[in-house]
Amino acid sequence: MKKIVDVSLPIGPVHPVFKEPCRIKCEMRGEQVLSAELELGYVKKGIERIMVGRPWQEVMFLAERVCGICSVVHNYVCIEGMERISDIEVPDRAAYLRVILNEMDRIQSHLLANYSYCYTIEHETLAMYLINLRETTMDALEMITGARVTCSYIIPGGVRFDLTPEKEKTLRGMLDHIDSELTRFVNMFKGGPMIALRSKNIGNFTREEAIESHAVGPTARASNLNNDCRLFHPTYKKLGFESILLDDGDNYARIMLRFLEIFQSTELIRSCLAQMEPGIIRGGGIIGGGTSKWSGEAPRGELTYDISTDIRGRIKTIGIRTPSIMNIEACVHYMLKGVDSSADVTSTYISSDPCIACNER
Amino acid sequence: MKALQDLKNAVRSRSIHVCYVNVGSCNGCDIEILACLAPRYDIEQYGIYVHNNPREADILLITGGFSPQWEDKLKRVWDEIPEPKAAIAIGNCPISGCVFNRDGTYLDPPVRKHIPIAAEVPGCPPRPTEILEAILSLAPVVFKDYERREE
Amino acid sequence: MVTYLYERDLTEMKLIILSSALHEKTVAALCKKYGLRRQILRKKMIRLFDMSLLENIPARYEVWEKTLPEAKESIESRLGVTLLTQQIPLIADDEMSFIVQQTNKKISTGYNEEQAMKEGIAMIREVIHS
Repeated sequence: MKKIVDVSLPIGPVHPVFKEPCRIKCEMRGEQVLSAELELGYVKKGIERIMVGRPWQEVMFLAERVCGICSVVHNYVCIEGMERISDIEVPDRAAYLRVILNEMDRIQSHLLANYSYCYTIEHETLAMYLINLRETTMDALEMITGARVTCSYIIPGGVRFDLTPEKEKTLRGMLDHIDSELTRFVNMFKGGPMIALRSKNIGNFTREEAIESHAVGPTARASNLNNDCRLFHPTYKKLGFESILLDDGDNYARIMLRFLEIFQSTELIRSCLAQMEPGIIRGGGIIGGGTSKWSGEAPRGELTYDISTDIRGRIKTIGIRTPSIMNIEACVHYMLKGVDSSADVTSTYISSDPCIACNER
Repeated sequence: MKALQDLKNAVRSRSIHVCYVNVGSCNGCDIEILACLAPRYDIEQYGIYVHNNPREADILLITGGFSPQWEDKLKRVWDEIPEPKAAIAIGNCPISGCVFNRDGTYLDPPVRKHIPIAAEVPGCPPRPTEILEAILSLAPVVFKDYERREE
Repeated sequence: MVTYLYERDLTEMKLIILSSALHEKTVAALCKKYGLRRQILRKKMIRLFDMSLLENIPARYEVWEKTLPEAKESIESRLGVTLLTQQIPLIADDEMSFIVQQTNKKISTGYNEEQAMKEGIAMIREVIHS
């Protein structure tokens, strides 16, 4: 696919705006991007290969280390997939606690994504506000699970620790803090002409393109494509979940959608806390043999685990499809095409919330 | 020359530029390094600046157990950093490979096979305060009286 | 001669991507549909696609599978035109439309439909082989 171009611009693998290594090769006419290519392989770990033949007790921790940012949801989906194989029932309270933790993880991941976007467009003030707010969320995670990043809180048949009334009270306080602070920051983002103008009408992504490349998560929902897996999840159904949709499909819409989803997540946690009743949190169960394909909604989109286990609960084959695979592909091949300046290349790329560690596993 | 060395010591103790390279980690350690930037930990009050640019860095933070694509590249990044310099391994992966050092992996730990590592911070992932402490306690050892020691 | 350090041969890395469980399934399904050998299809994919597209092949194949029940029974859908030009772009648009044209012509001149389809798929196979 060679074209006549003026400049071939490689970005990465070590670049000041990239959190993770990857290499984007842009072919440009002047400053306009004609096409872009992505080169990966810098963090290929072969997790799927390591998992094969290992018992679920080990796979649970390996699954968590597919991605450090959204480690909770990898744990969640992997365990739910295995529970589906062996028909393990989860106590009500544990199911709600899982949702609380998942939404907490979503809040911190979205805050981190918006932090990196603001940092990329060089608005450091807002970026620092957002990452400081993220620390509050990390505190909440640590309070509930005892660890900041890889918590392995969810286990087959329940969760590890209960949420005591004192902790619940602190959690409510944290949620109020997040809401009130974030309202301020969102107004800053909306009202600041240098931030909003810098983001509007850049990196356009239409609904048709989203369907073609199977984009998921906030990237797709900002282009009015609703494929939220939470709509099919039993616990979220009880909470009356409805997904938020925007239809601009540019950088601004993607960032705003993440802000709106944070408010939605705090509401979801509050309604969980209201509906939750005291009870047991660990039901127990034995992992058996079988196959299942189970999807959950990660902060970045649909995450699918295709697991088959043998009778003793060892993994026979496993296929993990992470949201970043689809979103990065959509970003590189559709959003970057036609971007007007090389400064917008990095900001558009970051706006799709890429996670290379997920992508390569 | 002592006055000049003292001046250099004073400047270097308040200006440590950091570059971080992910050579095959799960991202967990990277975001803990990013969390150090947050006003809560406020890495810049100690004079540490995270730029992620090897050419102006003093300290290289390495996360992840070495994936084969980095074979020539990490060496190049290390060579681009001006002297005096030091590398810190963050997390278990660059030290031993952690959970990824099993049959079927593509990684090739430890990282100290490829570049010299001055300090190691174990943990999966380590806390931001631990990372901060490692940088702060390594910096004087490497940078103080560097020219005098060279002679 | 200038040697660029960063322009490495990526074939090995791309092959690693193609050897995951989900990719194996997708490649096997494609091989069965067009009667190809796995090695040849893999080689073609490695040559044409960049790494992010390679990672996305199973999801893109799934998108096409979802459209199958809605699509009406036509030459295009049976040959998998959108699959090979849009979802997994192995064949250029003009080559594909030429194949469809040829097949349609054969059927309109009183050829057996099954036979024409077989020959159409053989033509696709030839393009992928080249």
